[in-house]
Amino acid sequence: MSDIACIPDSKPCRIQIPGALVEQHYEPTTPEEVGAILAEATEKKTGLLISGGRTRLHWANPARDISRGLSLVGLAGVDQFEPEEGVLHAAAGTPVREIRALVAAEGWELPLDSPGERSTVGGTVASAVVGPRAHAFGRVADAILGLDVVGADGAVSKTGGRVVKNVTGYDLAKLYCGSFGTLVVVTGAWLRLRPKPAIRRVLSARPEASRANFEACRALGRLASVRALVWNQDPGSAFADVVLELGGSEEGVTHDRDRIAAVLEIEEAASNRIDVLRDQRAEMGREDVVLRARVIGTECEKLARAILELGLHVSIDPALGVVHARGTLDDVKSLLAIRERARTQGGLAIFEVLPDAWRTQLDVFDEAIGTESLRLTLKKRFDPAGILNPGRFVGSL
Amino acid sequence: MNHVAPQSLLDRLTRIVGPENCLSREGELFAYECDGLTLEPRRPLAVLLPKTTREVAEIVRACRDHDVCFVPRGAGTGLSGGAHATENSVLIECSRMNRILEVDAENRIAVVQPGVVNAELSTAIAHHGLFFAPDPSSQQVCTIGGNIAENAGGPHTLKYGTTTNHILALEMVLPDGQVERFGNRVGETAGYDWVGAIVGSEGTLGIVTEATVRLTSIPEGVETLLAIFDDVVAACRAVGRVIRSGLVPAAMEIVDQRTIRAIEASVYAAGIPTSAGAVLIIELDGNPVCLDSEVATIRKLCHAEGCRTIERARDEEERTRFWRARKGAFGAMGRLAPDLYVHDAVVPRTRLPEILEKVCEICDRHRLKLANVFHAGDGNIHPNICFDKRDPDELARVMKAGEEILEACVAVGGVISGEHGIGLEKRDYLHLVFTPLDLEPMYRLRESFNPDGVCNPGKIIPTTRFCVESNPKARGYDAVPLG
Repeated sequence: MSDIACIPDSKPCRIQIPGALVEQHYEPTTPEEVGAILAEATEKKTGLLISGGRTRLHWANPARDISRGLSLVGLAGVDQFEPEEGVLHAAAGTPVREIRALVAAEGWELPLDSPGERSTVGGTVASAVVGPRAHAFGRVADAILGLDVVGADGAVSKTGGRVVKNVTGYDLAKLYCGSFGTLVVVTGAWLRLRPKPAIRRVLSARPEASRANFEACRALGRLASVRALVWNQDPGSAFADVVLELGGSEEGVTHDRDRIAAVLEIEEAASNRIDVLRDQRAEMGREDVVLRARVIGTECEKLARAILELGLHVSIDPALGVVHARGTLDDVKSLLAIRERARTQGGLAIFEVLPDAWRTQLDVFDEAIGTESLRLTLKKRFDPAGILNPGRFVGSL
Repeated sequence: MNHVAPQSLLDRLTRIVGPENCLSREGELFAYECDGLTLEPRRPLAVLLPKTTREVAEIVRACRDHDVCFVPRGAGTGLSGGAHATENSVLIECSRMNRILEVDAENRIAVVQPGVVNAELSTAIAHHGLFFAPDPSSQQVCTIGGNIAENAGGPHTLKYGTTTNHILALEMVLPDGQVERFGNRVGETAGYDWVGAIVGSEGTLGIVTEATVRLTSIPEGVETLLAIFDDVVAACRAVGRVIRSGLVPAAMEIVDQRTIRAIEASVYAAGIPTSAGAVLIIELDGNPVCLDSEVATIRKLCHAEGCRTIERARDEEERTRFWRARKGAFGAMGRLAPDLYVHDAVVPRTRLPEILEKVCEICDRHRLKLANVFHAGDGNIHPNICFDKRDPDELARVMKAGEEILEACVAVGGVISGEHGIGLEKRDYLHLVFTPLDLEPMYRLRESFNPDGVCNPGKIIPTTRFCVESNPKARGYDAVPLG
């Protein structure tokens, strides 16, 4: 039958990921081609590395039996943008930065703050990665109205819709978002936009790195026009670098700027300062360890202090309770101690970069204890042959 | 149908919750035959009123041992039949699990049992300057557990989102009787987003017995506007202008003329001129210094669509009066007919004018009384059909019109439920939105939690498993007639 998609030829490209070197990659250009590739992979039990912009491939447990890659970059472009409605539909391989530029011209902004030039819609959805503006934007899942996906059996399906409120059936988009491509392959998304703020200002300050100042900054995060708030601190430093991005109406931003000025000695900063800080967090530097921990707000400073005492640099979103840290650690026990501390303070710790030798001793991800049985059952039902990113997700799924 | 409950099951359930919390006599069960969807009542085998997670788990295990299905229920205010006792089920009513277990005001978190009433939580935390944002119209009686099951919305969804945006963690009794916890206090886990999948699953994945919820700061300033239009289509166009302007009001609600007249003739009278074609209520909240200019913008946009007058609430009393025109609507509709079918669908906001004209055409053609009250800012319409279900011909026309309304909404890119859920009511209309391939992953999700379909059978998507009335194993039960 002519409407049955053919499997495109794979292309050579060497990609080293934890636990595997993947040398051949498919680059389908339609969901149907994705379906054909997945159906065959399931039949032959061929493990696939699912990728988008390849910005977070290191963020995983060691791969298991992966022999081919499936890149979504060939499915790219915004095919529907409705400025009157504030929604759009984009293919999974569409770079997030392209959408930001497209919608800004019509007075909207995309509430996805994923780092890096090459971040794609599909990668952002799969990893649920957020940036400092999560304070204003919320989670990735909050921006998703509907998803187009292909199952491990090759079936092309959709979930959700294109309207801003919807309880029609199970909310599978929530399940797929952040599942790191282990349940389905996302090929497209309907996304909800936010009105672009009338004005935006970026402020910086260099307060003394005290608990009192940290808590004062955290309180500033509750001002209505604060979109992002970052506290950066080096180990042993007596000072912190604080950056705030404000957005909204002129009256609101001016009012909140005055409130901030009453607490911090501020100056204007470059308009892209938050973007720069966000992207720096995601850079693959020479550090041995890059981690992200999250705790309830009142415990954030204590966690950050403990991490600083280990000699790591921290970049904190105080209003979110998120601590990004990077540097060198002597042993894996220190890393696990950070995770344990985060857990006891109501949160979690994810290890984005760490020495290969440690990767086999722990789980990069940090799932709540007790859901293992459900996780395995769900995975088995969605991907019975285990072809989607095998070994890489939580519990080496 | 002869509704019977195995005596051995009743004895065991009575031992679990005590005789005062196990209802099985006919008179006791009558009130539990349906939720807010009154069209297809089903009498449960028994109603259990547990007070603890352990009791819920034991009830579930007892039901399983007797091959009897079970259905969770909150306050029974749902409108899609999600709490109907399908398949001769036992109802597990969580309204007595109604304690607020913890309030962490600094981190804006509360831990509650599922039977806590929505509005009572907000009242209890108001002195901290906090509230629980989801505000379904039934918030004075509906429970947090029910809000979670239905992913309840409300007028202020436009700015604050639906229930799913406010749930951080859950404790749940799974359909096999195990107790599991999902999520954490920061609302982010590294594995699958179980909480996101459970919220809105209408009690088909298990029974929520505890919830950690996110609290929201009470806004510093609030402005409420009431704009009067000559017709509902013009009011819808004004909503489109506001959306495009970049403002994000907390709420934008439209009430049509028939509803206004019913309200003004009722105890909910809000002083709206009955000649008005439609009323648009707009609420803005946030930093008080921003609100004056936002009000001025709204005025301009409404007048551009021919708004007759626009009032700004001068005080709390007037704000309450404006909202009475919205919140009293369903009660007032009782004046129009003995029964009310509250529909729920969503369309792209730019399609509101045409869909409302279409809905009117459908109801006119079927000779039905229609009243519209809806969340215009979300495109969430609620065509309310007033009828008398004792008239079989009228009832048939109501059902036919409802089907046509859903088809019309889907045809313009909409969906068949925005906040009431699918339940029983719309299960057989899912095909309008989803293909069998779209539904297959939904089955996979449900079967991962609820493989044999014993937990809230027949809701959202059809259940294939047999329950007591059709299960051959059930034939030998020492059944006891009800009453």
